[in-house]
Amino acid sequence: MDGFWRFLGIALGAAVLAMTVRSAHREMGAAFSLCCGAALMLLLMERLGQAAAAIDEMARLSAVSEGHMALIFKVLGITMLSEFAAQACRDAGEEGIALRVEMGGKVMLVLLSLPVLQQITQLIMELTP
Amino acid sequence: MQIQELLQIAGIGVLVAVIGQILTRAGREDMATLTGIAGLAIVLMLVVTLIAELFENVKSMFGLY
Repeated sequence: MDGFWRFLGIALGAAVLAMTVRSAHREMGAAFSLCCGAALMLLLMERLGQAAAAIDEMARLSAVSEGHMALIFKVLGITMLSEFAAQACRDAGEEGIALRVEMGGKVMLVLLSLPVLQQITQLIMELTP
Repeated sequence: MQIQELLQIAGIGVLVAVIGQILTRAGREDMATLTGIAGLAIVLMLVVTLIAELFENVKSMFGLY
């Protein structure tokens, strides 16, 4: 819990610092805010790892098969990173690029979930006479 | 660990802006733009290494190969 206050302080400090860098040098400000986002997420990685391990443990006890859990984790990772990239593009003022990045993320998600969808359709086909 | 790189980038940004101002005052606009571009290149190198580390972390944690 103690790391969280430090994390908040760093985030606020970085926000103010980003404003000063942006006023001093416009392009540098965008690079700096991107770097702030990455650094803050890296700070979170360790806690996120603990949460992911706990969820993995719970899933192993429950009836969720190993493949589906891996799929869920993949979906989580893809959405997290594509959301990060899309927001970075928006901060730099490039709304169009952000939408393309999000579309790319969605396409990856659809590709990933295709096998599950096929299983579901087969199941439905078997159920209906 | 990551905070040093953050402050480094902020320092480079402000420094490049100040040097640019000095150079423009001294009447060397071309040098000022060059220093601006050089500073931006250095900062982008730092940012790229940080982003690469983040992506590696997420990939290894969520099993994204």
